[in-house]
This record gives sequence, C-alpha cells and structure tokens, in this order.
Amino acid sequence: MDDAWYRDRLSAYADNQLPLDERQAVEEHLARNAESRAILEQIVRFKQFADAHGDLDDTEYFEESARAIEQRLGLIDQPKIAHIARPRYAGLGWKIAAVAASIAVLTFIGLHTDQIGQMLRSSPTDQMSETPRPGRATDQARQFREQPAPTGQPAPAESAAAIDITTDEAQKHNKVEASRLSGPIDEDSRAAASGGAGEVPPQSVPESADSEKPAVQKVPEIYSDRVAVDPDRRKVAAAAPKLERVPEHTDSAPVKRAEKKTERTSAGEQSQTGPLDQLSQAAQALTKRGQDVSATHSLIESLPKPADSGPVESEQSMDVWRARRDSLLPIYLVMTRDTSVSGRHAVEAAAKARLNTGEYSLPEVERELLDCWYNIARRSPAPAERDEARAALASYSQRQAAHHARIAQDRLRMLDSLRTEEQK
Amino acid sequence: MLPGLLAEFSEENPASSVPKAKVALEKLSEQQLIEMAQAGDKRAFGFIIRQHHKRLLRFIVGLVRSFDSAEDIVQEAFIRAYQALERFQPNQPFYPWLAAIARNLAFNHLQRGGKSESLDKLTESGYDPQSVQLGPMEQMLADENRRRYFKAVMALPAKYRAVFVLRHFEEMSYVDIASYLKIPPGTVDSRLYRARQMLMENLKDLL
Repeated sequence: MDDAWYRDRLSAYADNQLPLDERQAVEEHLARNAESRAILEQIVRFKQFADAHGDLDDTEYFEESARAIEQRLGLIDQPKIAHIARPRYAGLGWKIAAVAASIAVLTFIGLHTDQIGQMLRSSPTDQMSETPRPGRATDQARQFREQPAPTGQPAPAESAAAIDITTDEAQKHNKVEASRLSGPIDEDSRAAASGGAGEVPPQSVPESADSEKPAVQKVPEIYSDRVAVDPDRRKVAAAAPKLERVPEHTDSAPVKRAEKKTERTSAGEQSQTGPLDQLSQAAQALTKRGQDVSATHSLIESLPKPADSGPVESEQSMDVWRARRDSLLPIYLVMTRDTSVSGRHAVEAAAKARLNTGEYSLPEVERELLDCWYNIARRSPAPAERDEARAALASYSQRQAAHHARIAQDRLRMLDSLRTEEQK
Repeated sequence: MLPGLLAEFSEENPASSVPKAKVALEKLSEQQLIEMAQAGDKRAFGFIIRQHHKRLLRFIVGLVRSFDSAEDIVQEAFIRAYQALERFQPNQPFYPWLAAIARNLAFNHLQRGGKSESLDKLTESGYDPQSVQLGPMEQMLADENRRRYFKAVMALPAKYRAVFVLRHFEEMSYVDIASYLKIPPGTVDSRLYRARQMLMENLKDLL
C-alpha cells in the first residue's frame, strides 16, 4: 500500500469509518509518517470548522416557508377562492344610467325607423332645407334626409342626434318618445334592444334586483368573479353564510383505484350531458404541450357554463356550494388534464389571472372542491344530487394524483357514518 | 345533525382520536407526533415540518446548488411525505424517509436539468468558489465565514459535492453513501478526502 492509499483513508479515519484492519494499518502509517499526521490534524480542524459553520440562520425565512407548505397542504386556513359577495360595483350608478340611456335611444331608433324616415321625407324640414337656419340643421342631417331610411335596422346614433334638433315638430316627437321610454320597457323593446343595439357588458347589470330593469340582454357570466352567478341569484349569494371548513382526520386504508364516471343530475331530473362531461371534453383540448398563457386563457374563457341547477333549494347555502363547485370544477379539470410542467404553469397563471387571487394552486382548488362536494353530499335536499356529490368525492379519492385523497376518504367515512346515524 | 357530530366537525376538535386539549408538541416524541399527524392533527404535521425544514433545505441546496430549485424540491418533498404519511411506520425515524424522498426529487431534477451534471460523471475541473452566487441564501448566512464556507462547498464538482454533503450535512455513514451513490466504499474515502483537501486549500486562512 502506497502513501496515496493511506492519504485517501485519512478522512475515513478521522470520521471513524474505517474497518478494523484498515484502521490499524492507518495508525501504523501515522506513527511513522509526520506528513500524514499533519494532514490528519488539518482534517480534524476542518471538521470542527465545518460543524461550526454549516448551519443556516434565517429563522424568519423558515417560518414563512413552513407556512407556505402548510398552506399548500391545506393545514392552515387560506383565503377563500370564491368570494361571492365581493364589492366590485363601485360607480355602478353611473354605469347603469349610461347603459339605460344608450339602450333607450337605440330602442327608440330601432322601433321608429320607418316613422323617422317618413317624418324626414314629408316634414317641413324639406321646406326648411331650402333655407336652412344657420347653425341648426347640419350637413349630416341633410345627408340623412337625402338617403332612404333603412327599414328594420337602427339608425346611427349621431344621425339621430342631428335629427333631434332639426325641427320643432321633431323635438316635440322626441319629447313624447323620451317620456314614453322613461317608463317600464316592454318585451318588444327589450328584444329590439338586445337584437339591434348589441350586447351590454355583464358587469353593467345592477346588483339590486329592481322591478324596472333596463333592457339588458342576460349575458351569462361564465365563472365571472369566481362564481357563475345568475343575476337573479345574487341576493342569495350575497346573503350566504360563512362557508364551513370541514377538518380532515383519521387514517384510512388505501382504496383501489376505479374510474367512476359521475353524471350531474338536477333535483329529480337527469341532465342529458352533465357539465362534468362538457367541461371534461373542453379541458381535453389542453393536452397539447407548450400552449401559451393566452391560448389557455381563451380556453378557460370558452369553457361552457354548467347547467343551471334550477330553483333555489330550501337551504340557501346549497346555492353557494353549487356555485363554488361549478366555478372550481372547470379550473380543476383544466389543471389536471395537462401534466406538462410548462402547461401546468400556464394554466395556473391563467386561472390565477382569471380568479384574481394571490395564492392559487391545484391543491387549493382540490381542497375547495372537496368542501363543496362534501357539503352538497351532506346537506342537499335532493337525494340524486347528494349521491352525485358523494360519487364525485369517491372518484376524487381514488385518483392517484389527488393531493387530498386521504381527506376525501375521511369525508366519505363521515358521510357514511352520518347516513348510518340517520337511518338509526 | 347530532351535537356530537357537530363537535367533531369543528376546527377546535378536528379529529375524535386526537386529544381535545391542546398538547405541547415540543414535549412529544417523534413517534407520537407522526401518529397524531396520521390521525389528522394539522398542528402536529406543521411541527414536523418546522423540525426538519432547515436541515432538509441545507442538504438539498448542497445537492442541486440552486436555492430556488432546492426550495421547490423541499416543498414538494413535504407534500409527498404528507400524502404518503398513512403508509409510514411511526416507529421508524422520520427524517431519513423524508430525506430519501427529497433526494430522489433532487436527483431527478439534476438529471432533467440537461446540464449532464450526473453526479458520478462530472469532471474535477471548474472548482472556483469566487464564481458561485448564493442568491437568496446569502441572507441566511450571518457572517462572512459561513458565506465563504457555503460558496466553497457549492463550488465543488458534483461528484465530490455529493459525497461531502451526504457526509457533512446528512451525517450518512460511508457505507450508506457508497450504497446510495452506487460507488465502491474506497471511492467514497478518496472523494471525501479530495473534497476536504479542496475546501481546506480554499479556506486555509480561516482554519
């Protein structure tokens, strides 16, 4: 054995990790070799230095990081995702007024295009056109009069404004129409407004359910502000009680994986294609790798809205749970369909932007969904809906990639024990 | 719903098998903590995280040399451990199991990284502690000596760094290191000796 062999063993000797025979050989070598003894001393000094300087200090960082892990695991409370009654209607009054005024003008024009055209052709404005009053009749008005009035289509708003001040008779007519329009709008007017005047942004819909709603086309808010909220159900959502967080506990044996297709049913009725299926199909489009955020964004936007779950059940909170489930389910499906890292990040980024939440990840979505399914399965007055929610919970608990499979299994057991109690 | 069941659902008493009164977790053994965590006690697993977090992060930073990657790997390791907690035998030591999860994640990360930094193939060349940037980790090292030490460790070529970190940060035996890295025990001796020589050379003014 040469010196190199002994030197290589010096570290192990200092760490007391050599077998007995090698240890004795190294000790004999050290007894006769001063250079090796010096090296051994250096190694021992270095070990002491390394032990004294090998720790990290920043306890604040570790506390924050530990909390982040706990949040991801759902061990501590986190901000709710579905803030249904979030105040987001600042300045709503002005928006409503502006929309109502626009609709009123456009509806009037849409309904009275023929009359306006006739009025323009046969009214004294023809005579006046020969000697126009300076500063009153504009060139736009003249152009409008010279063209035949379009039928069945609304006239341009700026032309209508020009007409509005052309003659006294027209002014009178407009006043009458304006007073007529200030009252409730009938169904025809609504239809004309929605068909001819274009869509109104859904954000403009007032929160308070007035009896005299402006003629706004009901545009479905697909996952708007985290929850698909029917305007008629906003009050229910706003008055919803604080959502209950159900704790997870008890250990459980692993459950064999089995794919169960869940079909959503409304109270007593079986839907033809459940929203789960629709959303699943839509989410399959995300299986391609490398989609950018904007593409993902648009896909999330285009996901179909879950079917209306029907009239409000006896327990108001059921609506809240359903709404939360319907808002989270598509996000969950989109996130879990694409397993590529880049795709997952893109989806999460898009979902985060869509839901406008600070902390948002797949485990959080799953945790929220668990709560929804559990509460629906526990509280829904409709047996079919209860069974469906329980089936969803069971299906989730058998997923290999589920972050909270154990919690889901615990809750299934809770439901079973509840059912047993009720039967007793 | 029955009052008893209602109480079971409340946050104050998350699991019926867990004692109702809050116990001082510091006084419990690791086995008790794990049993509580397995029974659903959130505080118990939070406490376990805090017990092992620092050591695990230091270990993984040493392996992957990137603080950001190490942070992600450590988080993922805790999450996987939590998901598999029900299969863990509480009478076994927890940290080696957790570290094994994190190690596998770290090695997967290195292999996926495209840097061909496979631990037993990298050459010795490129040892330059001055070029190492500790990044956010710099704030965790209170004095200059610690910074220099960590920079020097990070700058070790991967095959030496792995052996050094497993020995110094994880306190693994030489036999375990050899078994884990699939190298002969004699190679562990020589690599560790070489790693220490490089570090001693670089830090000789501090020793």
